[in-house]
Amino acid sequence: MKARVTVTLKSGILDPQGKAIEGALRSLGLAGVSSVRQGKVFDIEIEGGDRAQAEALLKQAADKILANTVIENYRVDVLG
Amino acid sequence: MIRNESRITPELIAEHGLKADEYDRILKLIGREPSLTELGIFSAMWNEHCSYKSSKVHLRTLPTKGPWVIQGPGENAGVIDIGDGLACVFKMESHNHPSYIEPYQGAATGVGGILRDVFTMGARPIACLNALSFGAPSHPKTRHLVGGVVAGIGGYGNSFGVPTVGGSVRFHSRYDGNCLVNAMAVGIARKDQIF
Amino acid sequence: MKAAVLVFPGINRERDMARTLRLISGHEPTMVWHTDTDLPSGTDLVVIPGGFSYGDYLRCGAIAARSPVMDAVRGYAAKGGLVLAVCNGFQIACEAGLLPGVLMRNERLKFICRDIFLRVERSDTAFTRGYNAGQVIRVPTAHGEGNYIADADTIARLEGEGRVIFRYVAPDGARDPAFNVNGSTNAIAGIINDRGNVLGMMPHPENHVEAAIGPTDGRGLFAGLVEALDRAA
Repeated sequence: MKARVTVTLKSGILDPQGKAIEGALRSLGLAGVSSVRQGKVFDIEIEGGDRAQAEALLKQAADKILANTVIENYRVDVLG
Repeated sequence: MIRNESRITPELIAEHGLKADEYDRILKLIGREPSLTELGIFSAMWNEHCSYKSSKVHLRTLPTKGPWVIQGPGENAGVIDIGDGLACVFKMESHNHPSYIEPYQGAATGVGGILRDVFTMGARPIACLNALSFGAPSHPKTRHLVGGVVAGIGGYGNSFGVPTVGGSVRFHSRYDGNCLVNAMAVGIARKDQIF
Repeated sequence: MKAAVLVFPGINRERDMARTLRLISGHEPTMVWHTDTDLPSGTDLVVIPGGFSYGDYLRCGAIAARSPVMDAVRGYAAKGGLVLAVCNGFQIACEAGLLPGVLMRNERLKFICRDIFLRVERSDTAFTRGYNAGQVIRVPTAHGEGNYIADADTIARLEGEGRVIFRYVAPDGARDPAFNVNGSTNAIAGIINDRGNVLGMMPHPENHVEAAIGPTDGRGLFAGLVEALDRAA
């Protein structure tokens, strides 16, 4: 089963890397972008077909290591 | 007799970056037509980066012998006796065209490769240096190359724990078509512990 | 002093640290590989040195913090054992829950490799008894992710409880944003845990201990630890 965990910075956490990317978009002439915040995507293959079990496993993975919950949020999507 | 799946045509030889006189040399060396694989190997080994063919003629004029030379040309890096039972192991290498094509990875692997040349001799790398030449500041590629090369050198050297302690950089339109990225590594070894 | 220096794949400052510990304590530290599940018996100082453990993959120190040896370190710290965590070690300590907060990318995004000035905020800890409170020391720093971040409550607690031990300052000891090289909250360069036995700091005191090389302001930290451990013995 395929799943995706998306990890993003909590709002309020300063993201200078996002700001640098904003600047790069501007200097490439791509106007109209008011903000960029950089996150991470983990594409994970889970064995078995139990959705609820997969979600629980991924939540654990996110809480234990994929996200640093001091500064990051995460979202788990089981794609089937 | 090796059967060739592809015909070795003048076009194929040219695509492999080999000149007519170089191909003649191959024929003389192996006494037959090369296979496609063999042609590819000669092409890789005889390119400028791997064989320094256009620089060799100048490099040959440099001194390589002396009472303090423990290891001259021919090994991963040179070794000089610096007294107190210690030896200095060092080398410089270019990663020009790789950096021109992909500045960060080209420069990073240049640093990685030169560190490797030093520690494979049994020495501990203690410093990196570099000599860089880029095209005119106004050239459209220059900014991208400078940013990528500098980041690549830092990215590899810093995570290796070896400081980049010096170097030179210059800009001239003659380098618009290809930058020069020369990476150097210096290491220390005990004289009796060189591999 | 019976020091244990932890080594994870990608750590590169363990030799400098071992050399300094040997120089100042007169005792040989033990190098402990990250897969070991126990610390050497009698360990009275655990040092988590600097480097690029696991290439800084995922987050700095994230993977090292979850190594087998860290369970032993947590147990040892819970019993009051001294832990000195430097640079990547500080990042590992935060990820391992030994210290609060997180070290994020330097504010100006660049890797900083230069001598900086730290004000020693307190001299009544095992780590800083070799200094005077308010003393300014010069130590090298080399990092890309040293920007100390924590939520407002944590920062208030750290400040209120006097757990900020080192701060980035100007050479004369004054707070000055120009000298807060990585943009850390409140120019925090080093902190201790609530019990006072775990110190994390970004700069490298272990590299300023030999007069032949340069300043020796780092000696005070290690000499103070030797003294603290002698007294406890």
